[in-house]
Amino acid sequence: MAVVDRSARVVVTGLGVLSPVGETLEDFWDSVVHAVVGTRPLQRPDAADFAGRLAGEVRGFPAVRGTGDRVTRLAVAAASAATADAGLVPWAGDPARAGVCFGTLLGSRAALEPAVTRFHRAGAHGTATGGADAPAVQPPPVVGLADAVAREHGFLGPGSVVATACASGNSALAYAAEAIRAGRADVMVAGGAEELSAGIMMMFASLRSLTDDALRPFDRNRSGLVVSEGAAALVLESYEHARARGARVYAELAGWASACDAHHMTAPHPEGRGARRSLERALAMAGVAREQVGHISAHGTGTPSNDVVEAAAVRAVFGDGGPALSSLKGALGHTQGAASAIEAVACVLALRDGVIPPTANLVDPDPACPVDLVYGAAREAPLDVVVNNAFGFGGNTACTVFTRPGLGRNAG
Amino acid sequence: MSTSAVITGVGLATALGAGYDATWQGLRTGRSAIADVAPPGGLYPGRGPAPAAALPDDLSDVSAFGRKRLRALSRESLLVSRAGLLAWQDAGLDADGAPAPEDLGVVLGTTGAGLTGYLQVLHDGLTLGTDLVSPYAGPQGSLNAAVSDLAIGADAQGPVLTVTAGRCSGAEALTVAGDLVRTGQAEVVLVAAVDVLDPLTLDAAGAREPGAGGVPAAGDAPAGRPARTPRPFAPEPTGSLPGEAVVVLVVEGTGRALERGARVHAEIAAVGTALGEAGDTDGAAATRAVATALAAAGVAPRDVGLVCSSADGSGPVDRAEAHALGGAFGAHVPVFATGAALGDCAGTTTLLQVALAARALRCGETPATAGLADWSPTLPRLSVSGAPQRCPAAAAALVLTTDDRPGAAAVVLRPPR
Repeated sequence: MAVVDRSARVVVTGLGVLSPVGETLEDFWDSVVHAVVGTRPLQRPDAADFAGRLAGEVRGFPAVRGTGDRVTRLAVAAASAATADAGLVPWAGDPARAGVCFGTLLGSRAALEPAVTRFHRAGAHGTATGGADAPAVQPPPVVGLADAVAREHGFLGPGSVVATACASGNSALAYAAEAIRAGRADVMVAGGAEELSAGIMMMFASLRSLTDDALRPFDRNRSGLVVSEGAAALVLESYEHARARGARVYAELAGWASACDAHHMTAPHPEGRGARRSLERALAMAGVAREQVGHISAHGTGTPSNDVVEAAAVRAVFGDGGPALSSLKGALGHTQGAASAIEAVACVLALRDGVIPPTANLVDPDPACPVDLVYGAAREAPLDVVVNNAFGFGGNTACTVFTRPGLGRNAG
Repeated sequence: MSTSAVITGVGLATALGAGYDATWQGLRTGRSAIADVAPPGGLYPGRGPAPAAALPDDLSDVSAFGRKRLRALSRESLLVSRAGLLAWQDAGLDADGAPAPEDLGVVLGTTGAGLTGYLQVLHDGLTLGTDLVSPYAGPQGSLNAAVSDLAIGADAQGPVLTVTAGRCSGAEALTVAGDLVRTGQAEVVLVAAVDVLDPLTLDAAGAREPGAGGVPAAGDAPAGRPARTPRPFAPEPTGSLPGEAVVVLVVEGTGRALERGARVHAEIAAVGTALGEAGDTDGAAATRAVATALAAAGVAPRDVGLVCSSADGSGPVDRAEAHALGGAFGAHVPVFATGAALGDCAGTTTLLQVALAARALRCGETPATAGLADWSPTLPRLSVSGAPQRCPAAAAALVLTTDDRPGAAAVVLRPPR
């Protein structure tokens, strides 16, 4: 294999998040550190269709806020918070040198649901549909998610939306980092966004993945996941660009990798083949030793299969005495395409503060997941390297490695 | 992006035919595949036939990497897996030289993958009940289902990604593949693109037909909406019509391809993408994409021997591309456009163009441009013809894709060395 170009450092200079446990960076982090659970009985999209289901909603983000579909507004809000945090507003650089990449599972497809639902319900009740033979609606372009963020900021550089199902946030970070490393951009706003929708609920219900209990990552009594919504964005810059403008650097995005199980559309490979490969390759790109890794933000969905396979993959890579591991999904629910972007924000804050958040709702660790689980309370620990795991439908896996500024392969 | 990657395999299906050769031959004749297409059954009764460019055959005699249980796959997944096998065989990877599974990546560009599956989930959930949605249907509604099925079929255990960027999705996929090869994250990448006609798009195309409900009668099609075959670069824009296609390219490092003695279709010299400002009517994004790609490739405009344009009868696209290409090349470089023949193939557009431009480079001849009629007096004149055009040997080719975001992508190809 060719040698990876390690000359271009990619750093994190801004963070923004909207989640079921907080809509500002510090509210989110405070909630996560204190294991506040943000999932409750579903309010929307239409609770009547999903009686008794739990979900995580961004409650302070009502439909009337802003224009456009909800997922796009969530993305724009998270990106705007991140660029403000990075001191990039207003953008005074070359518009063509700044770009956007967001990850998502379904993007803006929920915008179709009101018309599709009306169409089917009218048909079911024998009601006239206004002469229509199909729902009178056109699918909004998925890339509109990134374009809206770009327009909001005046960016004209690389722009796309990427999808690796529930690993999409990490994939967006990788796409953005690669654009910087290859010299196509100086600044990229990267993240993930997802909104609650009937389609999402139906998709996960069809897989018998939803729990009526709580989402309990790595717990002996875990029984499935809770679907949520949210968005997060990270401002990534070349180190040189950040230094030239005197930006505060939270962390370095030192490594990223993706791999596919190539095994099954919904079941993970029993040995965590893709997960293990992503972990190993991301660490290799970061150029850090495994013992330097102090914390892994787990994918940790609370499904019986994911958690045991993820624990096995971590054990396979790190052996005994591996890093402390926790999952935010007990607190947030599973925000799908946004999940690993939100978790990336938490990774960066964990590095900043030397605090590993606990796994909410984890009470009785499953002995079949023999890893160092953090639960009950946050754990303080000096952290140099943090890893973010994300795995999705289709065996799509993606991992990212964040290091303390100045540490790692390009330190000095 | 400057790469040292080459295309060694092509598998595709378009409305002009199931395969690379069939499509090429159809284009040479100047034939348009636009026809009345019945809405796909199952979901909605539909408005009746609508004008579009539909695949005549879904490569049904191709084995999709020998996978079983193909009924569980969406149409997109099936097409990608079948075209993937064609590309794999075309690259000679079935005989020798296949990479280790962990060094094989898959990247897919699309605008609508999973949409029909998503509508099926909603249909079943709303009409049968939320507990009766098939567990096979759910995942097929996600954007990444098709690429995942390709990875499973090809046992591709390396990097995986689905990327969407309007009609330029294929260019983004090519960029990602170039990065993966250049940085050693993959040795070989299956670069795919797929978009199929979905019932909502088809219904909308039917609604635009003269005489359809709520739309003015024949002869009075509203501006920007086509009555029939799109007419690229025409004085009165006809509007585009939807099409569907699947493309898979095998992309690998130049050194690797040479080492294994692979037949090379073309070298990917550079990809340039650009986003325009809202209201960009003079092709600023297209102009920037062309300039970026040429500069990254180190190719001067005079060294470009042919151009494949995405002009398809849509006013904004045709105008942007005429200005960008006229500014860069004048009227001296043979240009061909496939939109009137194949329809607007959405996220597959760029990869289709790349495959066809590579073929033109190899043949020293562009195919005909279907639908060509009068030239708009407001557009710079280009060398576009309703018949095949000869082009200079050993010159580079440029592919330009534009959409209404407004975004643009340019790809520079070099002939095999």
